[in-house]
Amino acid sequence: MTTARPETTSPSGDAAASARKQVLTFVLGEETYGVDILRVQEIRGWSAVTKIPQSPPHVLGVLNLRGSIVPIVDLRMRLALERAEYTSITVIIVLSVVSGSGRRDFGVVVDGVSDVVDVNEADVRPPPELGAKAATDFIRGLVPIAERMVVLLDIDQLIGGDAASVRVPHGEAA
Amino acid sequence: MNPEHVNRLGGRGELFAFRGQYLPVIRLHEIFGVEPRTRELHRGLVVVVEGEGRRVGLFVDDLLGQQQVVIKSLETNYGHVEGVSGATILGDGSVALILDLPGLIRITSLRAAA
Repeated sequence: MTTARPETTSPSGDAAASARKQVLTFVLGEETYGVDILRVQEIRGWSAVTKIPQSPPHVLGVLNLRGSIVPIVDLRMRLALERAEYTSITVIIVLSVVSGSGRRDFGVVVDGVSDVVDVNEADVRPPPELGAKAATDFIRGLVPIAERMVVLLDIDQLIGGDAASVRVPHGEAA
Repeated sequence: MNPEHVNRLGGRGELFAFRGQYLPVIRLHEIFGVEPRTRELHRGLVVVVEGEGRRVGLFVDDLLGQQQVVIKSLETNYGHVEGVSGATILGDGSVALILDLPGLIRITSLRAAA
């Protein structure tokens, strides 16, 4: 039996139709954020970390993840949000950054993980201008999903492509 | 550790007598910004180590044991930390940092010279 595939042409052409990404959404306080699912290595519960000397406050320490030493970042601190207690549903999302120096993994602590959603690039709005360089470097854009605005994070900007910059907030001097 | 065997070098650096030599004391808690169990040398433990022809005393809280370990890189995912050469995974799955002796000696000399 053969099935004929109908040709679909959208008004904006095939480029927009193919520009869809899957995004893992998660909650931090009142806001919902999203990261490209392709960057997500694993999701795990919170466990005690080993502190690293002379590390910035948002780097909580390192964990053993399947034999690799992975730094864990408090995303609330990194985004300059209010601190929160870690509860039994606090989770760590392990993400990958691929750069010239290879692949680096790191974990971010979030309040809870939500759904994986499909996002159309055409629906993504640019982040608002906040004046100072501030925190918008690592915001890829905003996208409405199920009646809320999800803040899409640019993982590469958040941590940086070079091994040393997870220790230094982007834009600040070492 | 007998407090009488410890000499201070002009208020900065500490030396202690060990088998006819005077060895510098490296206060790891100061370098790593960790709250120690005690700041008094004679109440803690000094571990004499040797590296690159030099001997120093590391001031620590406790000696836990001795074991062979697999060295894991801290730099792959994080970066270089002065005084730390790598990390290892202990039997309970937790991470322990491996000290870099030349780096520690360097840090201590810089502090004493400051």
